[in-house]
This record gives sequence, structure tokens and C-alpha cells, in this order.
Amino acid sequence: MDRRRFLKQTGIITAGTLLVPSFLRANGLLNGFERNGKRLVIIQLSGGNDGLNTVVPYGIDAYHQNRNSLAYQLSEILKVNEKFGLHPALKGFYDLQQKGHLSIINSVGYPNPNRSHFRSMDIWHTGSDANEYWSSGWLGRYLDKNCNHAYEAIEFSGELSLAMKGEHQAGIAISNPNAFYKTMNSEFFQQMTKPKSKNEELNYVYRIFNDTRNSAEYIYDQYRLKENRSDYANHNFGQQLKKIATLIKSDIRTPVFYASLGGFDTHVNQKNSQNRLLGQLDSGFSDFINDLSKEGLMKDTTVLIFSEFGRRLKENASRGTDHGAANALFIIDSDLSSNAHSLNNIDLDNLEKGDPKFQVDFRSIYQELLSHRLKVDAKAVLGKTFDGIGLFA
Amino acid sequence: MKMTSEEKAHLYARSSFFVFAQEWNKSDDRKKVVEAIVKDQKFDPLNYDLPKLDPDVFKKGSKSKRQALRKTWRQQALEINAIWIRKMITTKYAFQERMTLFWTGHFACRTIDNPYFTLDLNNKLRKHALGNFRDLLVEVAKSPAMINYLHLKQNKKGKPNEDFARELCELFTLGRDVDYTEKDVMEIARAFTGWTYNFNGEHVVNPRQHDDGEKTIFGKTGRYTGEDVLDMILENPHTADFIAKKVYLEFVQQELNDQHVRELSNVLFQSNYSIKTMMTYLFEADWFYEAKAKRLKSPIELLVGLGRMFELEFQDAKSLFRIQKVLGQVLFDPPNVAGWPGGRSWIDASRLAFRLRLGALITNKGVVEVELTPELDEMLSQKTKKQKALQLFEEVDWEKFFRKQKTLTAPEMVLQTIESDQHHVSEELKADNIIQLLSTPDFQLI
Repeated sequence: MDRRRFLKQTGIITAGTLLVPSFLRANGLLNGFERNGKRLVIIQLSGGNDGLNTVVPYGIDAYHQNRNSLAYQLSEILKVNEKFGLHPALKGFYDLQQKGHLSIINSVGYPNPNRSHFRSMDIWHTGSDANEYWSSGWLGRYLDKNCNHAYEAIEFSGELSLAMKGEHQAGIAISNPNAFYKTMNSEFFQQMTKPKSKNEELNYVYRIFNDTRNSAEYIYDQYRLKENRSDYANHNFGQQLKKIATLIKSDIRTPVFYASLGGFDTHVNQKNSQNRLLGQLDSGFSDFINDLSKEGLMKDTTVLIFSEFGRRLKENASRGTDHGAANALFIIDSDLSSNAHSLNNIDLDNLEKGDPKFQVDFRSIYQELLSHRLKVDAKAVLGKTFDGIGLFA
Repeated sequence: MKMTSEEKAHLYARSSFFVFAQEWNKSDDRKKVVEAIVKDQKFDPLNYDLPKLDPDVFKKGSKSKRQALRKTWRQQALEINAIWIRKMITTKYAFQERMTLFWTGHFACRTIDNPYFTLDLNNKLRKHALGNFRDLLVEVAKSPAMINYLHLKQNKKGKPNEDFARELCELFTLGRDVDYTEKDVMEIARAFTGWTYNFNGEHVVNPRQHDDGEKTIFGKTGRYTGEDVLDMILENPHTADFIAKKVYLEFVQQELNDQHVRELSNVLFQSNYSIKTMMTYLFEADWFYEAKAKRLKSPIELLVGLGRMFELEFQDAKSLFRIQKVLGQVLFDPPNVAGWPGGRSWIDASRLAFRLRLGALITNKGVVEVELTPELDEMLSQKTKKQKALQLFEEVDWEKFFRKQKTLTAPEMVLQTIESDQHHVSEELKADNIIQLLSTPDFQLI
């Protein structure tokens, strides 16, 4: 039996399906796309970056008292004000901050902090309270309500982050647009069309299947529109950002991108490893900013950089630090109301289980990103309303 | 009641992952077939030789010694993970394993770093998988794995830790905010103070840490112990409701039918929590057969189903682990105590792309790159980076495969689940055709 007849008989194809038009073009969806808000790039620092040695409270005694081997002195850091400075590796970040395009937000966390990597990362990804278990991510719920295609949230990795999964709609994780396109558009898959069925689950699988094929094709097309000749640091993080920049420069209809840099779980000999990682963060990110700025694309781009928790104020016996709670995070945007929100809002003399108490709920940051940058109803995504901190001008 | 071969396919797929048609019970009476499946089960423990624990390594051992031990533990837990998957593939008691898989999701507990916890809890779940839910609940609550995971060791008189008490009510028995208050959670935590385990992994209540004072729980006052609380929770029929709902989602479909859930719940409650009685009722119900092909396979169902179909051995534990990771379900490593959310959350674009190609990868004697990505074309390209590739799959014995399916046609057998009017192939099929069937979106359903 020939293959085509077989497929026909097994209900996999119906007549004439070899000429399936790409639905994107058929529906003219590619024409006249206008973004409502800005695009959002999320950068995750996995493992719990030590915020106290990233945004260094060099002017606070308790910092030096608790960090005999790890504390930075004024002479070593990039001074922001009389109390705080940035880690020496963060030169690009410092430039942005001085220009007013980066805000340092200190003491970000949530009530009843969890010090397990898995759990705390889940809480950041889903936006739940510490005692709730949610199965959808905050960006995923944004996709649920505002998007229809996997390519609307892209991550260059082997596995999609929970943050990018909604109840009905999810983003897409790929590592190689070329290979992914070839896989999903093999002759065999091209011949498969959706059966007419009353089975909602079957229809659902076919919907995701078609969307995956279309997204693979669209991302591939956009990706090779224009070769990205900009130089990027030759590490995995830099290359993730280069791929993201290539797509952004193609004017892809993607409002959300996700990148991550891991290894921040610095229990032992923290100074060297954190120095190396923040160096990668700074070099990769600076290349990204320069690349997009050259084409005037930063004005439409907002970046959030976060980690699942900060680290304990007191260093441990191995010249490292243990899991903590509230942490510093960065927002990069061209229209910020300040370059330091809640920077001084940290009390190292009044700790909770050895960690500075949180002052800003991370969901109030999400709320402002959703309502002011993605321009959607934040409450519909987060389930409730949080006190704003007025990030944007 | 007469039973069609389609119904049998459905019953065997849902209860036992996958069973070749020629191994099905020959009766055409539904009651008899169900009875045969349910009766044919037995507790066959998962065996793995672990050395006796040396308490001194953790109390007095050097840091590097403890680190080395942790590494060994992780490797051992990883091997147990692979052994369980192989067991699900080769066992004669597939329904018992299928139920164990269900309970491992219900009593979600992260034990992937500790082979002792892993083995102990897994065998406890297996032992009671078709037994009495009370026995199961008590065993789980007393298991070192759960005591450790939900911080019961830190739950002490005067300094209660509410973690276990809260999840017991919310995730294991009553369901979120059903018939309990914050005050109940605090008082239940007191009843469980002192619960811990000794170095032999046996449950003990430390009398010095146990608060034996009066507690007021669910409106009643008494000097309740932990086990008293478990009984009080089981006396509430809402516990049966919650379990019935979980069973319905796992074995029937995501779209809940309140009437059918109530039927299951009544059977469970009235049989004094006999799991076997509830499952028998479920498999005899007409509505169970109407749900054919209306569930997405979980990653483990998909893997084990393929494994049973092609008698795969999955020799490399590490590759098997990576596949579970990409598919989003690693045994002994649930995302949190709520377990895997399941249903449609199993697939997104990237995972579906991987799942669609998994059958081809397996049956083509594929290799898996060390860096596993969803792009299977890269993984399948055996020419590149050959030295980095791990051999995962053995050659499929196609002759045997075709010999084994005599009753049904191959598509019917591979897609035990697809809607019947979609395939009427009677001709002899080739291996290529089977691979194509495995790559259809239809194969993702069960």
C-alpha cells in the first residue's frame, strides 16, 4: 500500500491537503501588526543571586560586620550614592543607571519567603502567595487573555519556563529556529490535518500542533530576514540574547522574550563565581542594549532582571552565602520615573531569620509591567491588586 | 454486559498502560474482564539494594565525605527512577503499577536526592495502591520521606510547623478550604507534634516534642493524636469526594461530571475507603467507556506505553531521566507538593514537538544527544557529535511486534484510542507505517 493511501485510510489526511496554505499568510495576520505596548524581555538569574553583593550596601556597618571575606569596599565598587554601589563587574549596568535607563529596586520579595530554589522560583514564576500552588505562570496568563500563538512568547532554551505557561496558551522554547522549522515542517507533518471531531482533547492537540508548525515557520522566516552582524560575547547567555535581538530587529510580533543565566547558588567561594557570572551578565546584556539601541529599538523594550531569592546577610564558613529571601532587582526602560526605586529601603539591623525583610512585593513590579508596558489588565493576570511603586514616568 | 474489543482496548490502556490484544482476557463480559484485571494484581515490591545507613557519616563525617555520599545518593535515586519505569514496562501487575503512579502524583513528595526515602515511600504507595485509603494515608503520613518533605521534624511542642497539617487537608484529603479553617490547621499541627523517624526509617513519636494537651479540631475538643486527626478527616465524606475527583481526572477525563464523581465518592465512602471497590465500579461504568481518547497521556504513560509496545529496556538511566525532564514529568521529582498539574498542561508547542517525534526516535534506534533539545532532528542526526551521543534505545523487534497483534489491525492497536470511524486498515502494515502512526497527534491521547 502506498503511503498516501495509508495515511488517507488512517484518517491522517484528507484529499488535497498537500497544498495547505500557511494560515498566517492566508489570514493576512502578518500585515499591519501594531504593538499596543512595549515588548518585555525577562532575564532570570537562577540559583539565587546574592543581591547584597550586586547592589552593595558599602555604607552600612552591618554589611561589613557580617561579611568578613566577601564585603566590597567603596574603592572597589561603582558608587551609586552614599550608601550603595554596584558590583565592579556591572559596568554596563552602571552606565545605564547613570543615564537614568536602569532602576535598582531593593528589598523585593514576598511574605513568608520560601528558601527552596524550586519553590521560590515557582512562586516568582506563577505569582502565587507562598502558601499557594498555582500551575500557570504570570506571563502565561497574560498570553491566555491577550495572545493566540506560541510565537508570542519566545525562550531560547530546551524547556519552556513555567512563567510562560498559561491555562490555555503557552509560549515556545526553541534552541535552533532552523532545526525546529525543519522538524515541524517535514513532509509527513505537512500532510497531517485536523480531523473533524467532536473530541475536544483531540481538537486541542491539533490546535497546538498547527500552532507549533506555524510558529516554527514564522520564527524561522523572521530569524533569517536579516543576519545579525553585531558582536556578542561568546557565552551561552550572550548567544541567547543575540538570538532574541535578531528576532526583535526583524519586527517579529512577539511581545515577550525570556532568557536565563544560571549558577548563582554560591555557597562556596562566592567571590570568584559571582564575579564571573555578573561579568557574563554585564557583557551579554551590554551587547544586547548596544545592538538594539543602534536601531532605536530600546525605546520599545523593557527588561526585568530577577532571581528567585537573595542570600543570607551573614556569610557562611566556606566564603559563600546561603539561601536568603528579599533581593535587589533591575528594570531597564527608557521612561523610568527614577533610577533607584526603594534603593535605600533596606534594614540590615532588623532581620527576619537572618535576612533583610522584603519591602516591595515582586507582584507590584509585575503589575506595573503588565499595565504600563504590556498595556493589559494586570488584575486579570495577577488575581488581585498590589501597591504600586510608580516605576514608570 | 457485552464488551467490544474497542472497549477492551480502552480499559487496558487506561488501567495498564498498554497490553497486546492477544493478552487480553477472552471473556466478552465487561464485569468478568474488569474482575480479571483487578483480581490479577499483587504487591510486587520494587527492589534495590541499598547499603545500611551509617549514622556517623552525617553526624561526624567530614564535609567532603558527606558531599560524596550525597552524590552517590543522587545516582542511586536516579537508578531507582529508571528501575521503576522498567518495572512498569515489564510487570505482570500493570494495574498495580498504574495505581502506584497515580498515588505518587497525589502524595507528591520530592525524594530524588534520597534513595532511602524514594524506595520506602514508593513501596508503601505500591503496597496500598489498591488497598484501603486509610492504610495508605497513615503509611504516607508516617513515612520518613513525607515527614522530611513537609517539615514534620520541625513541628514541635510550643513551636508548631503547619506545613504538613495544611497540605494534609488541602492536597491529600479534604481539598482546599473544604470544611477546615486556619484555626483547624494550627490545632492539627499540634496533634502531629513530635512525629519523626529513627535511623532505621521507622516512624516514632518523640514524647518530649509531642503536645498532648487539648486541641479543638473541626469543632470537637480532645487530646487528639495525629492518627486521631486522620480518622476525623476520613469520617468526613468530603475526603472521599476529593479522592474521587482526583481519580476521575486521572482515569476518566479533565472535564468533570459531578454526578459521576459523586457516584465514585459514594462507593469509596460506603466501602470504608476501599480503593479496589471504587476502581471496579469505575471500570464497569458506561461513562468510563465514553471517555475514550479524551485524555492526554501523561509523559510516563507515553513512555511506558511505548516501552510495553516495543518491549524496550531503557538501559541508560541518565537518558531516561533527561527525557522525563523534557517531557515535564520526572518520577520522584514533582514540581511541588500539589503534584503535576496534568491535563492540557502536559503539552505546549515545544513539548508537543518532542512528543510527536518520540516514537520515531525510539523505533528508529535513535540516539539522544547529551544536550537534549526538543529539536529531534538534531538528536536523530547520528553523524554529528557521535561521540557525545548516548545510546538510549535498542533495536525494535518488528517481526515480534507484528506477530503479537493478531486480533486487531496495527493502527487499531497502536492507536488503541483513536475514534473508530477514522481507521479501517486491514492490510498488513510495514514498520514505517507504524512509526507514522506513533507520530500522529492522535497517539498523544489515551
